[in-house]
Amino acid sequence: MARPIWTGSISFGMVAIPIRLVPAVRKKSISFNQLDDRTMSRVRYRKVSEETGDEVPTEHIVKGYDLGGSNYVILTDDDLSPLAPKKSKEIDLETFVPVDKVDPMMFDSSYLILPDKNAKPYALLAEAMADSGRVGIGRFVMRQKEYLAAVRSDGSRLTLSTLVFPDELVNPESLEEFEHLDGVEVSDKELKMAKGLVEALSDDFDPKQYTDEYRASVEKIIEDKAAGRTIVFEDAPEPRGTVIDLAAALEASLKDAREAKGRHPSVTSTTKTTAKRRAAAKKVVAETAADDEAPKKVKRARKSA
Amino acid sequence: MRDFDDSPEPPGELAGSADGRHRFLVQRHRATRLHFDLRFEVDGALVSWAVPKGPSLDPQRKSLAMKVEDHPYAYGWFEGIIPSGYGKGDVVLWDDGWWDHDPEYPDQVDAAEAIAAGEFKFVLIGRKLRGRYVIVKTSRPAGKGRSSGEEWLLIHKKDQYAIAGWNPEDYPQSVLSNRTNEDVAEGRPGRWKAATEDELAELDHIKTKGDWTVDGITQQITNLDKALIPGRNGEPPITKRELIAYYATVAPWMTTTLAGRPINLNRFPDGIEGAKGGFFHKSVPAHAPAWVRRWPNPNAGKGETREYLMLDGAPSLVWAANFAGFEIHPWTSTCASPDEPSYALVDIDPGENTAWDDTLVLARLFRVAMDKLGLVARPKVSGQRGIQIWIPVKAGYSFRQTSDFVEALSKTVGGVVPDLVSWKWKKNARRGLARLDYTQNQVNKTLVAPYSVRPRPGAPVSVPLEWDELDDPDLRPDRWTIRDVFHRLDEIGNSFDALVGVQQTLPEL
Repeated sequence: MARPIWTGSISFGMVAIPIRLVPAVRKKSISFNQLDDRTMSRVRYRKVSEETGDEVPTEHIVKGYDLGGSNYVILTDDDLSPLAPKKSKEIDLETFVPVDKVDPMMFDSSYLILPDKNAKPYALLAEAMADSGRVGIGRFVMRQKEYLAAVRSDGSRLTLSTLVFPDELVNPESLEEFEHLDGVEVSDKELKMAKGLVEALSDDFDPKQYTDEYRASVEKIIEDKAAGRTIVFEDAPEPRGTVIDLAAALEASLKDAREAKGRHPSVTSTTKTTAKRRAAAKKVVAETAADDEAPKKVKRARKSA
Repeated sequence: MRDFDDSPEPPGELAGSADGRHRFLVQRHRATRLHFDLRFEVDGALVSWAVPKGPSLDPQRKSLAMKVEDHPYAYGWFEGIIPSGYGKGDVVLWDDGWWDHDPEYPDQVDAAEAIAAGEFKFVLIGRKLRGRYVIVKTSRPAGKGRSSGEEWLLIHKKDQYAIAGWNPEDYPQSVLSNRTNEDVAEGRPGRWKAATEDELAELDHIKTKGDWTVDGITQQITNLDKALIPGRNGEPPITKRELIAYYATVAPWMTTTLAGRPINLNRFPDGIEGAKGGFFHKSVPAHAPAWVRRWPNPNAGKGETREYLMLDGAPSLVWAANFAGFEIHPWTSTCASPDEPSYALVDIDPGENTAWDDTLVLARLFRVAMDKLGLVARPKVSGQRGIQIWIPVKAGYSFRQTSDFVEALSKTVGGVVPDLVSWKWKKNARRGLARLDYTQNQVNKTLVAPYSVRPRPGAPVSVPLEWDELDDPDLRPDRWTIRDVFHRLDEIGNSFDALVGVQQTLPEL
């Protein structure tokens, strides 16, 4: 069963329909870990002070609003908590509007609305909305933030899309490039040709035609590399003659040590301070050998008399 | 949760197990979904259920348990990140102990039959789980709805161990290493609890013997003022009390190299200068309390030790020290895969003509080699005369492979300083030269544990180092003792923490 991210009810008029929300979209982009290619250790983000470069503990991190010129207003949880929207378990549908009156630009994230076991009120709402050709508009609070939402019906199932607030949409008037359109004139002949082109390419929208080709190629590379044991993470294969190579490096280090000693017989090296630099655990991610076998299944030897 | 005041003794002789008792093991496993693997030793294999919400002491809970295939016996001890190809996720050993048939149902005599019939009544004697349980198959047909496995329900009976509202998720730590699954996944070292200041103060007040409680476990400790190790440089001798206090304090730092491994204890009941000297003690004596963890070696041959000691925290280290077992040698492999070493070990074993500077020359050559080969490793001083180098390896290596690697590596290093090293097997043929002993890479061959006491005057300890400390003119192989090693730990910490979770491939040599 899908894990709901919100549980509550849709209310309109005197009716409250218990429902749960699950995300309607599962992003499928491939995620990678960042590795240091010298040690194969994972790379981590740390929050460090710009001034000292030291890591800053969570308890010392506060929110500052930038007034410009390195002046900040510090806002604490105490300042903000009275403003936080009250927790509410209701999506209050305030109005039902024709579906084409909602600018598609406003649609943000989409969720499926799951019915309760007693599904009748849900079914009723879904059917009534589909018949009316309208979407329900309302507000609700999820994760301490208030959202504007549109509830839609496909006839039997309801979906919810959060909407951005109108003042969050970028006003085209504010972009001067659009001014290039002012005073442009097109002739009837040109328009006719362009319309012809559009018509020639007209088709029904079939979303299945569109797949993420980049993702598919990356998956293919990963699969090939894994199957062919051309392992991405492993060290570059050592050249033949490692032992000779290694012996040469060892000889060279001995020679260096002898020379250093000749120059400064009493000095060996720096010690304790460098030792304090605790080397972080280095994880070398390496594939297991190809001949691994699953060890799990065994037949249980029954006692025989 | 580790209160064993009213511990029942483990049930008596039962057939079928290396040590005559039936084990149960519970692993907390974060795979696609979190679940607990509940495993019972039955006829030499582990009959297993996956319990999504985990077993409980709460008699109100009916926990769904999906029957899964039987697992090999050793697998129940596994803790770590499952190597790719074997499944996925991270695992800690969440609980273990003994199971027995529920005495209220004398008719149930054969567990395999009871399980085949769909209802198994049993008693658990574990660290977390205690008391009478039943696991019963539901009538829901397989394959309908959520899963293809058989659905069972696990229920704790109302008995003196029942605790309403007891939630397994409130006790997520491993019983072996005190780690959570998150610690395992992120390669964080486990840390056993050390004795507290108050507990140590109580130890000072015990006369020559008495009961002492550490980390929730009370045990009797004896002969506390017996001097077991003479002092050095005119310092007073080291008593058993001091050894016990040391191990109770250093416990957190020993976790990463001891947890989950069988232990060979070197015991000195009459002190290091006593007539008996020291002798290795591998099995757990019958008089040891029930909470002392034992590992039955499934590969033990006739006449070999069958049941090994496992150290699992300050109380067991105290128990060992009280038993005069104060030199600790953990296996290079874990209980879950005794034939697979976790480290390739280099042992620089000085001869009588080897100067300390010569030992350092050899160790520095290994430093260059590790650097050149791109391997993460750390040296440690043995606490006596030598230096050892621990190279962590990924799962799946055999001792044959690590031994071959260390042999090739040691011969290359020895090859550039032929006047320092002898390859002769017999000690008197070595002309006092050092040996690079690759033969330690074998099952049940051991090097001394980091922070273990060595049987030498002053009680020096074996200490992991950072590589650049090999250039410290003050470094000595027995520089630190139980009296001053904590200064170093406070200042630098445990250099072997850098090896935790490192899974590396050994290059071809």
